[in-house]
This record gives sequence, C-alpha cells and structure tokens, in this order.
Amino acid sequence: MADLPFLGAGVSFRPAWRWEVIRHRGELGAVECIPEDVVGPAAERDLTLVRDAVPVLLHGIGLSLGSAEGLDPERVRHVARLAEAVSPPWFSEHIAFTRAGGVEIGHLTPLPFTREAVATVARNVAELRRALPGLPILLENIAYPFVLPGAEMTEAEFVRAVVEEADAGLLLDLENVHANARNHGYDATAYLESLPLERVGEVHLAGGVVHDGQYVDSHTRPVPEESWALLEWLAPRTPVRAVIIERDDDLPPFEDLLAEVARARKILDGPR
Amino acid sequence: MDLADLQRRLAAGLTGRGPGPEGVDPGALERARRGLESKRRRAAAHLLPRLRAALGAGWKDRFAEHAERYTPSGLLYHVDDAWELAETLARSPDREIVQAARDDLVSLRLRWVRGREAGAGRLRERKGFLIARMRRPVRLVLIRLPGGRVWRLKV
Repeated sequence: MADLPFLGAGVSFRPAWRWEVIRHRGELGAVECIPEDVVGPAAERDLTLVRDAVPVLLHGIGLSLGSAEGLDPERVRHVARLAEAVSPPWFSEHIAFTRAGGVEIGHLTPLPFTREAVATVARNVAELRRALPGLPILLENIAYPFVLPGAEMTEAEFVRAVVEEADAGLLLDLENVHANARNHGYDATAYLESLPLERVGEVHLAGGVVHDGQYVDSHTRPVPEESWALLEWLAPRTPVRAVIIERDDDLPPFEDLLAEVARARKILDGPR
Repeated sequence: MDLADLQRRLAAGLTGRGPGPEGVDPGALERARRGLESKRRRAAAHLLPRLRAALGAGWKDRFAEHAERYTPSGLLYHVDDAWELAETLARSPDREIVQAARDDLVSLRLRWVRGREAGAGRLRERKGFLIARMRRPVRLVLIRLPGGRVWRLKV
C-alpha cells in the first residue's frame, strides 16, 4: 500500500458539489465517486472536469463481488470504461453481495464468514482484475444487520482471509467498525488489531443514526467522536493513503465537510 | 445450503419476495427489509418531489404498495425505482396525483431514456431533443437540446 500515492483527505462526490470541489481543490486530497451514479457522456464529462482539479477515486457499490453467481459483465465494462476516463490510483468495492436469483437487493448485504465465501470473492476479484489491468483493488468491510449461519471464522478472520486470498488492499470503513461493534457487542480496537493493517490503503469515515434500536451507518450525520478516536488509533499503524468523509443525505454546508476533511488530514499528518 | 442458495433466499427475504434463509434472526431480517424500503422511499422522494408533495401523508403507504410489487434494477437503481412508481401513479384515478406524476416523469425524461428490458443498462442518458409540457408549479414548455441544455418557456 505504501507504493500508492498519498492523497490525504477528501469527500465522497455528489454532482451538485462539482463547482465547490473545483473551488476548494486546494483543501481536498481527493473526491470519491460511485461509478454506478455516472451514466452517460455528460456525467462522464463532468467527472473528468473534476478529475482535472482533484484526484478522483472510484468506489463501486454494485459489482456484487461476493456473488456466487459471478459478476455482471455489463457492470464490469461500465467500471472499466470509467476507470479509463478518470485514471484513479486504485479501485475499491465491498466484501458483500447485492443481487441473487435475478433480484437486486439495492444494498450491500453480508456474506457468511466461510471458506466458500472467501473463495467466491477471490474468484470475482480475479475476474475484475482482467478488466482493470494493473489497477490496485481495495476491498471494504461492511456493516451487517445480522450474522449469517454457518460461520467458520470470526469477522476479522474473514476479512483477513478475503484480502489475502484476493491479494487486495483493505479499505477500512471505521464507521462500519463502530456500527458493528455497537450492534454485535465487540471491542472495536481489538477488532482492528486482528486485521492485516499493512494492507490498509484507504479509510472511510461517516456518521449514522440509531433506528429500531440499531446503529445504522446512514452517512447522514457528522463523524462521531468514537470513529475519530479509531482513526487516531489507526493512522500511525497503517500506510493509509487517503481518508474519505462520506455524506449521502441531510447534506450540510460544504464548509462543514471541509472542516472534517481538515481534521482527518491533521490526524494523517501526525506521528506515523 | 450452499452460498448461491443462501444468497437467493436472503435476496428474497430482504426484498419481501419470500422467506429468508433458516438460521437468520427473522426480526433482524425484517428490520433490514424495512430499512431498505425506507432507503428506496427517501431516494424516490428526492426524484419525485411533486408526487411526494401531492401524496402527503399517503406517500409512505403508496410507496410500500409499490415496493411490494416492484424491485428495481440497473445502474441507476433509484431512478428506475422512481420512474416505475411515477408511471404507475400516472394511471391513478386522482387527477392531482396524475398531474404530479406526469410532471415528475418529465423531469426524469429530460435526463434519461428508460428501455423496456430490465438490466444494468436499462437507463441511459438522453442525447437528443425532447419537447415536453409541465404544469407545476407553473405551466411550462420545456425544450431539451442535444448536449443537455433545457429551455423553459412559460405559457
């Protein structure tokens, strides 16, 4: 991961922010875009305008790398085309699946912590690499609302096994770690200590809400202090190249996000 | 149960298309299903502001009926979802709802073209001309030019 370029801190991209991003390019290390939201030449043109000001990371949500049924070739082609257009330093996706049996779930859904699931992700990542030759791939841990039956290992062992067998980097979503620790009753720092921290290339931070008694990683609130504490613990222990502040809804003034970006950058610039 | 079978059952349980897999807490699965429906509903509200306003307190229930019947697909998943809902409500017996649906559909059609077949590429960017009318909040004729610029003429 230390071979990847150091970008610092940035935000998840929303098209409505493109002029703010360009205006504040000196304060942003990168923006992260969801390729599934960029459809058509006009949207691609807008994104390349942004790319000329700030590095653009591509973060997929719909490839369904955990699908036993394999990848959708049309979605893979879409990602490959966009990667060629914006030249990201790496591509990221999730340790999850999003469709099965012709049904789109519309959300990142957990995998069982099994050898079969590890092998499935590794196989799909190998197929993805053929479409993205030479582009490093990072895989993100997800928040899970329930544990699937038949677990053969712990979640941390599962994430380690996946990234090692897929030979991928790790995009560590600290808000997902925070959510899972709260909802499933484990210590977040102990969880992080079990991961292959030398593979962490990127970190996500976001804020969530409590709903129906569960903490939900909704990306609708400022980053909570618990997640900032996890970043402060993590930063000196990993070669992390970028931290992205994710905000999807209840959008605040852009300056509020820039303040979170600045805080993340300060942590990254601390002793490492 | 192999992984493929587990995933099919989980997809069915999370979208209300069938029972979830054995061994998954039914309460947790139902909470997750409601959470996904809520996420779809919020996204649709952004894309269909006139319908959201016209339906008022009835929005949540109408969306729940739609979610029970339809599972969206494709790269622009939420746009597909909103489009299907608007087309359904454009056939409503309530004139206010019909007009709101038609106006919201014009907004969607200015940006995208929706094909007949479900799949990753069902929605694609509109490229050519489009002339359409909108009634709310004011009566407009909209002319979309190739390249995306839209002229709005009050009538």
